[in-house]
Amino acid sequence: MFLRAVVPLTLAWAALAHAGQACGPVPSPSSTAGQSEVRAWLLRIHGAASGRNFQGTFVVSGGGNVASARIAHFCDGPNQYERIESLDGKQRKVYRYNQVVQTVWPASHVAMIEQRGTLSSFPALLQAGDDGIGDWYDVRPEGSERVAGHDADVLDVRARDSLRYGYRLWADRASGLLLRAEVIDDKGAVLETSAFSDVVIGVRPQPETVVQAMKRLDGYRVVRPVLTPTRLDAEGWAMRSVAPGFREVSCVSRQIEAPGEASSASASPSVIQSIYSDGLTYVSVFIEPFRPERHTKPVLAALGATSTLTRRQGDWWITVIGDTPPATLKMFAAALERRKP
Amino acid sequence: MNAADADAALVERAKQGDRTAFEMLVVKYQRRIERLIGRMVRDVDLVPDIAQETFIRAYRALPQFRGESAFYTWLYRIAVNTAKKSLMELKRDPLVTEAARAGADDDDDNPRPDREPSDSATPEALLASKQIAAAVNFAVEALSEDLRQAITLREIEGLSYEEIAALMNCPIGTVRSRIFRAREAIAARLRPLLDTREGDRW
Amino acid sequence: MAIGSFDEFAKERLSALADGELDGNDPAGDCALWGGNADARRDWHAWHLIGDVLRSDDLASAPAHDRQLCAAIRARLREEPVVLAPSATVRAPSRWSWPVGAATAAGLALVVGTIVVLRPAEPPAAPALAAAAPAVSPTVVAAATPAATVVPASLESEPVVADIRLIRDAQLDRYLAAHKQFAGSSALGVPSAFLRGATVDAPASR
Repeated sequence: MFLRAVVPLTLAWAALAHAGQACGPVPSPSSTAGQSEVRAWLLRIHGAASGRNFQGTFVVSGGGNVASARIAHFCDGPNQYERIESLDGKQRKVYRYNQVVQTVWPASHVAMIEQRGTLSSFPALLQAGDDGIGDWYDVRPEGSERVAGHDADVLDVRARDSLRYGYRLWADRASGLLLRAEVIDDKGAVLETSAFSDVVIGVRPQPETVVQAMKRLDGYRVVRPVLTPTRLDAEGWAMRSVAPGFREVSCVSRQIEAPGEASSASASPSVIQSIYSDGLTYVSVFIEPFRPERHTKPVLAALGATSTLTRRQGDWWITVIGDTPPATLKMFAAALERRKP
Repeated sequence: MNAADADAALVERAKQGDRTAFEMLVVKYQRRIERLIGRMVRDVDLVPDIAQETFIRAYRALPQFRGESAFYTWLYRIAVNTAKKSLMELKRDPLVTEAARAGADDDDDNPRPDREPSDSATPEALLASKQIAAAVNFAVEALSEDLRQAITLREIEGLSYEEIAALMNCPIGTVRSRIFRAREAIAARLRPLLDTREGDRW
Repeated sequence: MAIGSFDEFAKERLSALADGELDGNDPAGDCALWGGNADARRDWHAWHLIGDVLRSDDLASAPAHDRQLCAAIRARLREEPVVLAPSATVRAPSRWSWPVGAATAAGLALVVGTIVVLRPAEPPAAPALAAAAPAVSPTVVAAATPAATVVPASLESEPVVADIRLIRDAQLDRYLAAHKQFAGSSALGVPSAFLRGATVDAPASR
């Protein structure tokens, strides 16, 4: 496991935070040592989410909306279990057992079962060492604070250009679990906050509660969306140039069910979804045939930390969604080219 | 305008000692808080007590609320904490029957077969709420275009009067008046369903 | 202090107070009226019930239930010591927030049912918003007519950066969910992807 390679981080963290206050040069992440440290921090954060048993209440607020849920995560050897239950809005529960994600809407008795594909992304990008996150983000420790009753190390992640947002991360000192995260724009405004309002780390794992809940589908209509891996060029498309720092991490063909339409293979046409990442953030580009009754108006909008763009391109309709400033989406849309074989 | 601003005037009154202002906020948020608690606690009978406890704790904690978040966000967190605390206390109380304890168990600690809280609500109460929901939706459809748009933009989209005025191309005073008249019209249709018996008024 | 009657004028003020739109005026009189007038209390409850139900059917409540809970809380509040914690000067925040850095483009488009609100970047000169920046021409289209007057489609011209209300576009919600399935801050183990998709409804039933 990658954690073996990680030096006791609490010491490294404290040392660097202190160095930040000292006179003299602070090791910058663009130096080799800095890069691996950044990787180590982020890997530890990611590792805690999959390697720890925890339970708590999680709240996301941004764009004028607040949503929260009760979350439990268990791991047992190589197996991962997760249970998330919405606390407001329409009731919704999500269960996960490794790659299988099951979403249940009790009020309408509908369940959706998805296979979460393996995509080469975080942390694979980081582990390979060629992520270049340090090229696009400036990562610095900033001391510690208390969050949800835990001592947390604060990490300041600043975007080096205007194509992506910055972050402020609070990771539990003992475990590395991310306790709070803020998405921050170039003016320093907080676009979105995600945080545990309470969390217990190191609970007794109860994986059977997740597995049993996933089996309780009596009386539910079960929907199984299908994602077929594909390639942009095989579909007749190309991304002439990718926004700096981003690379494609996945491309699938799928259906996006229209509201009011029953989910069936013939109902909605296939949509190509191509996903790009710079190691921390993601952009999805959706391509489908243009349908005038459905595709009525182009949009360029920002809601909290997420931006959306839609527009027509010839006989096609393009939708770009990303956790980036809107300008980045424009770059993706402008670079998309139809290339018939 | 976001919700934090919308409640600011009442919250400030409450902080100046006006209990009535706080009660007005109770009426505003009681349903949402009860729904939140109901999702965390299986036993529907416990919900009103925990909701009560939530609002009292919020009242006592008013001096600590300084508007860093929206009032509802702050109230929300208090509700979650209060629900959790109540569940813990219930489990420790030796006088509480096993059945009640089982009914109160949180999914997290002692998982039970999925049972929607509404299973315990009486059929009459369920029917009454369904009727109310239907009446509201029907009444909204029956409104004139201007009134329907104004109330929709305010309640569903959460836009401020200023924003609605810009969209509907009319003065703010007109927005205020339309929203008020929409409320009156819908409430009129609801009155038969909400009517109080003698001696049981607000 | 004279409480006054719950006339049309007072009612409309109460409605504005429900929206936090009394424009900086002190609602002391309105609160006193509410406290002393059963009709005011009845209406305040009805209006908020209406708002809740419009947002979510499952917030409808049986008639007596809300009253009972409220009465119980009122009784307990009477036993509490009065809280006194007035804020330091409360400045009315600017309520008209514009997206920064976006140029003005023509028009506002509003399609009831699929609401996308686009605002021009430059704030109009006060006071009359209706006679605002010349480029602004809000077009309101009822749900029955699907073709809306829209902001110019071409991205070569400077786009309008819109704000928030896309959430109501159920169609876009599904793309958002498809995006969140892979992305969001879940990279770092933060399940915010789940929560940001909180508005996504269940796949339509047959």
